[in-house]
Amino acid sequence: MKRQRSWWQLQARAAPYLFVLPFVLLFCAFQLYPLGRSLVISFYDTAGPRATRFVGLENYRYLLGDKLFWGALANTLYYAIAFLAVQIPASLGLALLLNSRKLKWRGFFRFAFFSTHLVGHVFVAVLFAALLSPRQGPVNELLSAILGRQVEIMWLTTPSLAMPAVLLAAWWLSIGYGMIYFLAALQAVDQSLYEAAEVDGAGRWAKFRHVTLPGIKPVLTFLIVVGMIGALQLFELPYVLFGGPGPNSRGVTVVMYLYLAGFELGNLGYASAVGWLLFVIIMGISIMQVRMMRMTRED
Amino acid sequence: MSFHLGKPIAVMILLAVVSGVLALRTPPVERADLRVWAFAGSHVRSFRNPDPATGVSLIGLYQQRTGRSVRVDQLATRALDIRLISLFMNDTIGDDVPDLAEIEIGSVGKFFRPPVDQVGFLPLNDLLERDGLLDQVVRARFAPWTKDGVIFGVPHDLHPVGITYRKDLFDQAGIDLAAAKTWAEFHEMCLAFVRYWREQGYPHRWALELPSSSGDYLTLMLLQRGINILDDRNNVYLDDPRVAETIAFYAQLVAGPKRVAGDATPGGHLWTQDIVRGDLCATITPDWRVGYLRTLAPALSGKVRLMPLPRFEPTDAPTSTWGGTMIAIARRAADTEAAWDLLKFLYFSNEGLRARQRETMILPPMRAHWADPAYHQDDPFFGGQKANELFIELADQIPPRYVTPFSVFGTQSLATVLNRATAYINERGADGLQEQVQRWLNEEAEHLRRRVAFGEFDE
Repeated sequence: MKRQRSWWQLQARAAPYLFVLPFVLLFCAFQLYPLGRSLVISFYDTAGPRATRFVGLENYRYLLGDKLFWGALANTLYYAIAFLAVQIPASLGLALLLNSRKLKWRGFFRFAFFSTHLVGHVFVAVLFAALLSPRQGPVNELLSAILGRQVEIMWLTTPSLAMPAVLLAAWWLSIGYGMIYFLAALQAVDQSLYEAAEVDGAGRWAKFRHVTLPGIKPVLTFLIVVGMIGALQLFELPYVLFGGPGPNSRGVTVVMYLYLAGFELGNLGYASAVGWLLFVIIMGISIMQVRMMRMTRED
Repeated sequence: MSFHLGKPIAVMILLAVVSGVLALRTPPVERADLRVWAFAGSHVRSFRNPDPATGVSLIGLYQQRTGRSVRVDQLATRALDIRLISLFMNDTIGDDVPDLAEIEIGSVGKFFRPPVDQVGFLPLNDLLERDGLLDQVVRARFAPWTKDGVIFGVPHDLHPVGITYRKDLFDQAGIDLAAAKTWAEFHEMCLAFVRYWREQGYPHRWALELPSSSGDYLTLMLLQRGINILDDRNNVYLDDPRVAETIAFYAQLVAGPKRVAGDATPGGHLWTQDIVRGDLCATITPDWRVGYLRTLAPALSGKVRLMPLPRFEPTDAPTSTWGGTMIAIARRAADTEAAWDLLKFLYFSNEGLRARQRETMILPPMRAHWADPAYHQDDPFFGGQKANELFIELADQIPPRYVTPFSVFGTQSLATVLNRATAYINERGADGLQEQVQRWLNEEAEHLRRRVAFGEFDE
């Protein structure tokens, strides 16, 4: 009897660990080990399966002195800031519009705006390459019709227009995605707060500022942080749109730089160093964002 | 009917069950004795499509003769590169590794960074010499597929380059473009062409297709002048004064008041339609591009002609080379002798070359085959001109092209300087351009040398 009880106690104690064991094993094998390994090889020069050479901090030193890397970082930050600056307000605006009960065909519009997100970056890049083509592209044709003369804007080959072209495609792709999150958040805001605000004589703007915005703040924070992380990891869109680094390397992002290091140069050690630096950058920016959000909440 | 977890979950479970059953019922892909990975549709067709005369495909014929089955997989270029690199980096052995793989010239550099004994492809020098094949191939064409004197691939092609132009539209403008022997003359004629059509109400009819911001066509012009941005030892020639001269000239073709060229419509092979519409009236064409014109722009038949490249200096070649493919044996292939046997059949046998001719008309790098009457016919697409004969004339003058892991960065540097040059012309005109281009090239060359010094693997 006593033996049976201790066996039961052992099982009860071990059961939670056994339940999490598959996840832990998979996590260790496919997440933790590769992470640790990539940190180790970031201190090596690698070429092929057996050719490795310890170089210490040399990969990081070269990386911080490479103008292509700084260009890639500048492009990525430009994209990330411009992307969020338009995506967040546009998504919120659209969500407010589509949350209105007066609007007919709401379901259709919600699906239509969200559907762009279903097609993926590669498809959108191919689509925008055609839309922005110099002579027969609908965008230039539309501009020609508006201006009354034929315009031939080289969207994809003019350095200063490279990132705006990527941004156009990215906004088209993700404004509907943000809208869905905001819609869900808006519907969760307690309606009685609006009624109370109305009783207090609050106008539209005051209701938005003092009821809506605090109500959707967690979603807003989430979208900004996730959007920023996604933007810092940008790769497929410019890679397919330009078929490479783009004019004057203006389409190179940090992840594309990492790809070039790993798969064009075949130096996984250097690519790992880029990856770890990107990790530090993303971590730093995310912590900063969350802290700023927390500070505004406390205010 | 109701399901207690709700309809969406029921649909998801149903889909999972159906796809699971389908996956289980799908018969496993038949294993072949030899596997080939290729990226080019036309090459795959030449391997797989039956010969109309016999009804047997090239790989079918090989199986009949040797008893060894062959599977040819077509993969997108990038997918093929990444998969192969991953296999090589992991030193994979076994069924995952293809026996033979075709690699595009723009991709091959990335395979050559490891020391020679660790490159994922099998060295072929001994095999080529043993079977007396080394001298059958135009020697210059081994250059891109060679590292430190070790040949890793057999070239599929030569890809000599000429210019295909809309003779009908140039004739209307009263211009005989083929008479241009130098690039300066060519530019003048193109200017006259653009002026003529502008007066006729065609402000966006350009004489030539040239990208305004990519370094690829510049690379081609530099090769014509015998300049590789990086040679096979990774020496950098970006700051050669002739590079500055070429960029300054090129920039004036695509920007400023003397502009004569326009960018092609991006995506797929839409450039062929630019030629059909007469938006772009001449295009630099290697033999493989002619194939696209024939297939995708039949409306051009009889309206176009082919001419050699004009030169910068008399010592330049009247041609260059653009694109290229090699076939290589994976070092970790299960049976490298069998793979070599298949390689010879696909690339050197009469049957292989005939199948290639049937699908692509791409000129092979084996001189002996150039006498084939098929390459000496009047070509109705070119208004009766013997276009392939011109390619053969140019083929022997193709300059060697080297590809290293850093070539992609060299081309990028060219593009950077070109972009700065076009911006300069648009703002200030062409005065002082070449000197300024030289300064930019010096900076870029310095960066490139640093990248090479850092990136070269020293054991």
